[in-house]
Amino acid sequence: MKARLVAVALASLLLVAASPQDVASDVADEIMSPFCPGVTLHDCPSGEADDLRREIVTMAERGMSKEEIIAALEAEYGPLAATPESPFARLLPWAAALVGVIAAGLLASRFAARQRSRPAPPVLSPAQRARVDEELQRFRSEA
Amino acid sequence: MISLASFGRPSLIAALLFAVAGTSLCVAGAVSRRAERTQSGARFLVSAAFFTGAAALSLLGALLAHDFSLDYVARYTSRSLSVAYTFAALWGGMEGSLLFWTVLLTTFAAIALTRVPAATARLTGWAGAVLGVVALFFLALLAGPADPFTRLGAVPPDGNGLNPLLQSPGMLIHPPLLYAGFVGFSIPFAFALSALLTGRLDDSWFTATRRWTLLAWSSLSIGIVLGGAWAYTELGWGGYWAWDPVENASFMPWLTATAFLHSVVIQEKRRMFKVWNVVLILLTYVLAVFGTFLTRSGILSSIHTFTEGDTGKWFLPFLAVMLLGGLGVVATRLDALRSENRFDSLLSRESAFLLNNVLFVAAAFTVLWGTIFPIVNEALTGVRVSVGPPFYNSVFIPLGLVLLALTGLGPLVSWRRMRPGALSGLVRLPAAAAASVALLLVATGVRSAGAVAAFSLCAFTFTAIAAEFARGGRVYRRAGAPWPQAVAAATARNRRRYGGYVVHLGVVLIVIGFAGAAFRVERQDLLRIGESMAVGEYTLVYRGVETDTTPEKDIVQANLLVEREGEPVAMLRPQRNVHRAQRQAQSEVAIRTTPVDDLYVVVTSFDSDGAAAVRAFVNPLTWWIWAGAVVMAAGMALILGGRRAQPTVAPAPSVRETVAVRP
Repeated sequence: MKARLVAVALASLLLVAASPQDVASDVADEIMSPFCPGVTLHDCPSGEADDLRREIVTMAERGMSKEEIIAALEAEYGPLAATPESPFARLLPWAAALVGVIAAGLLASRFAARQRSRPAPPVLSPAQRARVDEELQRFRSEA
Repeated sequence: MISLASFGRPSLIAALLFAVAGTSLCVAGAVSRRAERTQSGARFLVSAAFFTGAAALSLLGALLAHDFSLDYVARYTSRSLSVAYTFAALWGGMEGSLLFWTVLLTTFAAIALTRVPAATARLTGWAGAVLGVVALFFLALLAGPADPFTRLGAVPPDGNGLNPLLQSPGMLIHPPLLYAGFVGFSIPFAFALSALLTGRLDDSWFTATRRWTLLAWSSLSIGIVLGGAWAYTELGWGGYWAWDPVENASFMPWLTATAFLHSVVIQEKRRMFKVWNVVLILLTYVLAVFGTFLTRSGILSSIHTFTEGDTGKWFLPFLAVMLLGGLGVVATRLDALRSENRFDSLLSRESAFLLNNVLFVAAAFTVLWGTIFPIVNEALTGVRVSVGPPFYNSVFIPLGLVLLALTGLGPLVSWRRMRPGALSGLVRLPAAAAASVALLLVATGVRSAGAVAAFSLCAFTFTAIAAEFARGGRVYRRAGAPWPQAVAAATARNRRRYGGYVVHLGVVLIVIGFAGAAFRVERQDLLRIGESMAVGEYTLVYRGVETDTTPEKDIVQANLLVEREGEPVAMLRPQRNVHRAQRQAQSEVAIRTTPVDDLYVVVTSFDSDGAAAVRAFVNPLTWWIWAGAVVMAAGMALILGGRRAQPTVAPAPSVRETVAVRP
């Protein structure tokens, strides 16, 4: 019961947050313009796009959801999605980045492991360390 | 009377012949290792530059003289076009832009080949040959399918005029800067190939061309930002970047070039990543030419591509030769390109640079994939689709945030290896700054996770950079200098390093501007005179309409009083103009800009009764994008103003390394 109340509260919060203008803006951001090549409906500066954006606001004011509006528009203009539908196409850049990071990590850790297996360089003695500090001090004062 | 345009085509033919001779002599000089042949070749290429410049001056003269017997002049200018935009028409059309590209290419080649440092003189032959081949390709295009000097049978009384969208002050410098960037990368590309062909694979090829690389990168960076500013002020959709194919064409080489600028530091300091570096510069130049192909082939639709003509088809074989030829040469030299050092630890600056490089290249791949996906999909399924901002943003926002974190973290990590304890000591302050900003934002009601992450990482990186300046200045501070002088002295002592930090500061400011978009407010309404609309904290009151006429256009202007909390703060006057020569309507945006937010208003149409269709946006923090670009430019100037780079020797461990490896 408590969970249902929370869900209803959250849903009503979402409903309050999304005004018809916001829904229309979201739709225009997510679909390509049927009038301007290569830009979203939101970014399209043509007059027809302006009319369509206004039509979308009207649709949202009638209570249509984002998905319903997009479906109605695609029925009229054909595919408008601004993101490839194929998961392969959507995920390929992520896969490439992941493979790159893993390959680079493996390469670096392999070489780092080899370096670790080499005999450790001699540790500075307190006297040597004191001399380094002294040299640094002299360098700083000269600088 | 002989017109200036009469000299254009003969000049191009002369340039082509000189380029053939120059390229042949450079090849002969490189193969026979005879410097005098190479020098003669370079001199011929200088002559090719001279005649290409003469052809460009000839076209410019024809443009300014309104010589409409030339097809190019008639298509891109008109008698009413101002002198400045008539000048800009030189690169406003496809043929002129290719001629301008070739002028830059041959001029850069002439300068680079005749001012080669003695240490890299042996690279001149093959570098000249590569630059000559590239110049030959473009000159052949200009002499053939992209001839800017084609005559019209009947001379029209007036021209079509320049596209109204291109009639913006930004277009006077944005395309030249982009082209200078693209073409500038041809110099390191040519010297890298020359290093591979000659087997001289030390760091001389990139130290000799470092300034070219930096200049090209700086030019491309500023060009891209100016392109964003042009889109913001001219296109009227309230944003500055739409992931349009033309924007992508400039962004791809910028990403790989940025990776190269970071990666080359590893080769310089540690003699590592040699193969990676030559591949990166190869990719950068190929992507620059690929962008030129995309915008001229007509295979992709964009509001600012040159789709007329069939010039694009010539680019594909050229690109294939450059890419496959380049990679082939790299493959033959893999043994000689082996790293002289290895990773000592995963926690090292080398690793940070490697991650940075992988992410930049992944980002470039994302842009490439999104740009060509419509073509790939159409070829495979027959369905033409578009890829827009939601796809790119879904990848770029997370990648960008990791890169921003690395921008702050990278300089804190020492070369070779570092103890986690030493790093955590250095990270404490920036992390505290980031956490404070995150808490503050959440406490003030910000719920956008992306914005909280972006602002927090900006605080992290800003504090890390500021701490680096403070560490550098502390030495001089101990000697009694006040803080400003101490920091200035540290900066002057190592301009490259601190200039890089200033560039990173600029990046932080730009990201602040990007993150502000999370709070953008937008409203659209049809206003009758006297009506008002609210957008964010502003109210726009439509006071009336005015009309005017200039030689080029008919202007209709809305007068909108801007009020905030009931008080008038500004009068904005967006316009809807009709350019007569092109019979094209265009909106002129009105913007009230402050560091806090931009009120951006555009009128998309007027009704006969004066009612105005108004789109209004409140764009928070956009001002910081342009401020960040200025800071970036200052950082680049700081780096470029330093001493010329000399080949370096493998470094002794730095002070921080010595401290870091203490038991």
